[in-house]
Amino acid sequence: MEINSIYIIKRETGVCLYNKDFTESAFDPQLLSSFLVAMTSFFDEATRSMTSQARAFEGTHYKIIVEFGDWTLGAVSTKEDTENTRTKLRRLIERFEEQFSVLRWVEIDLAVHTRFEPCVIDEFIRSNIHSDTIITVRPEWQHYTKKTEVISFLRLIPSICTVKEAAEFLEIPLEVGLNLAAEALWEKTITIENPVKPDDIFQAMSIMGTSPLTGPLEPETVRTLTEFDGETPISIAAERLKTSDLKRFLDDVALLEKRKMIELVSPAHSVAIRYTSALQLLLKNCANIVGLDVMRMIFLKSREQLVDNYPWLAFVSLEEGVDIELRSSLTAATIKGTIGPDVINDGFRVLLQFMTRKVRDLLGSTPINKIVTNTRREIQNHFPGTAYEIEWESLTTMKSS
Amino acid sequence: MSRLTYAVILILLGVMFLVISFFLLVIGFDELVSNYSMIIAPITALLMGIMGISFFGRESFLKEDRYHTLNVWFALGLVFFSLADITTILVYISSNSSEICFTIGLVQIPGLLLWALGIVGYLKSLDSSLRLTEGTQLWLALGIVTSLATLSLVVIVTIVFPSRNILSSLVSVPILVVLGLIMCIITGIFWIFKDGYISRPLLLLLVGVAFLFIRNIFWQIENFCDGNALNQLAAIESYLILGASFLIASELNVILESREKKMT
Repeated sequence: MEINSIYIIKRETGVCLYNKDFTESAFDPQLLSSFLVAMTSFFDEATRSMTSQARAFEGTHYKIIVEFGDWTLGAVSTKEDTENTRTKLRRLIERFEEQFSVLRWVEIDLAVHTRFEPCVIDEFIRSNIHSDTIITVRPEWQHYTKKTEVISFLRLIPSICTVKEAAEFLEIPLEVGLNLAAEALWEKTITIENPVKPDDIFQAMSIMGTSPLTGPLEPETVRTLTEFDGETPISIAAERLKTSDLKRFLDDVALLEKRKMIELVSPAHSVAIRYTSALQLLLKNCANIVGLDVMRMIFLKSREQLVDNYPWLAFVSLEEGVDIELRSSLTAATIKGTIGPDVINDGFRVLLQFMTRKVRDLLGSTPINKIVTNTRREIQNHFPGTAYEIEWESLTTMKSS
Repeated sequence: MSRLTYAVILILLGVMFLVISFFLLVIGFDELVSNYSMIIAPITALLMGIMGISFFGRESFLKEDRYHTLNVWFALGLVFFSLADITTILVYISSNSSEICFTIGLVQIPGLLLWALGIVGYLKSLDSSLRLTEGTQLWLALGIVTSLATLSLVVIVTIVFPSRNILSSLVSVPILVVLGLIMCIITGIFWIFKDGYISRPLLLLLVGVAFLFIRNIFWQIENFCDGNALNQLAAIESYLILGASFLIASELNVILESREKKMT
């Protein structure tokens, strides 16, 4: 889980209107509310600003990130302050203010906790659950929930299984299975584990292969560390290492992750890597036909046309030939999560669209559509689970007028 | 003036040259046409070849730019064709024996091989991007078609023209087959990209090769290297059109930019 607890506080009074704790070690909601309102007011006064300058408060093992609505402020206790978490929090505040607007003026019981629960599940829980997420049903889970749908879901499924297996077992649509698993997680009746997938991108955090507590690692497992540069998906790393047993390789990766020697890159960075790979392939395939100079020109012109709307695209450049280079400042921003995955996704999508339309003028619509299809196939090999997130349909072009 | 304008000038020059030459042929100045076209042909081939190399030669191989490489091979091929045309002049001046015809054919082969290398390399590049065929099917088919066509044509020519030197046929028939093959490949590529701007230089390339192909058919039907004015005229037209193709191919980005400006 990316967050520990969440709070929505009325700015005027400092009353906590909604709170949810995911770790059983949260702050007292009213105490935290008073603290946050006092601190943000202090910063407002100190900086004489109409809008608060305070955005985060940092502890040793956590950060409390703050976002402001019109009349509420939202706070999330988390390990990492990322743009992704902030975006979710902002969306949640918006939804809260819209749903419970009456609370701005009067204090009445609107059953906020029950009614707002689906929104929080939607923003912070559901995104962590995929078809291959492994569910482990907690012992004595019956004591944690009274929800009939969760009870009937957990009663019938095996104690350890994937969401997909559970859905197949119960003969229900996968989407329903995913939602039920999210509710079960919300009720703390299950724990989840997302297994390592071939399209995951990891970066090495520590090169120390042994620990007195955990014992030595196999030399082969340590060897895999060199491939985790924060840019290479596991599928390519396995290819490079000429791994014959992918399952064993994935187990090695999971072990390294468990020992905190590697960690998953941020969602924004993984989107950037995926799109960069697609862009690189598309450029290469088109340059094979029209030449390097023309493709360089097409890339640079498209970028120039978009840089006003997507300033970060200025940090995507070309090296020799048509080799894409993400400048270090952009890479750092995506790794830290200071730029959201949606922003990256949007910019690259439009860039690819601009480029494919220009190439269509040169080659005609059928060849460029074929190139897009081939590029998609190749990207699917390297990112089997996430390649669909690139909007390939928007890249295929109609006949030019 | 832009290169596109120069391309148009080259094409017009070719048309004008053709009209004047036909006019002269009609009024009976056959020898005059034959003499000047024999001199102009190698010069045109050399000039167009050098021009092509200067546009595309720089860094094309180093950067593995397949489209530029195609044009470089064609430009180098033109330089070799200029040598073959110079040989034709020498043959025409000295004597006209079948052994010397065999020599002219041999001189043309390196140029033709460069063209074949260029177009096959480009086809390979297209195949890697568009996945036209699976595995080695295409190359196998190309190899079989070329071999079978050459063998059967040699047999046909030997039967139809029993008086012709077998050595001449062994050289001229593969030239015809390779030219035909190059033409077929360019036609295929042109058809794939018929809706895009890249089809323009490809069409000129096709017309240029077609002129040489037609000339080669005449060589099979008539005498192989008799210095006929029409043969040389066809060569000049071919070289000029290939030059125009180089000019347009080197300006694809300009064409694209001007279209964008029009749209905005």
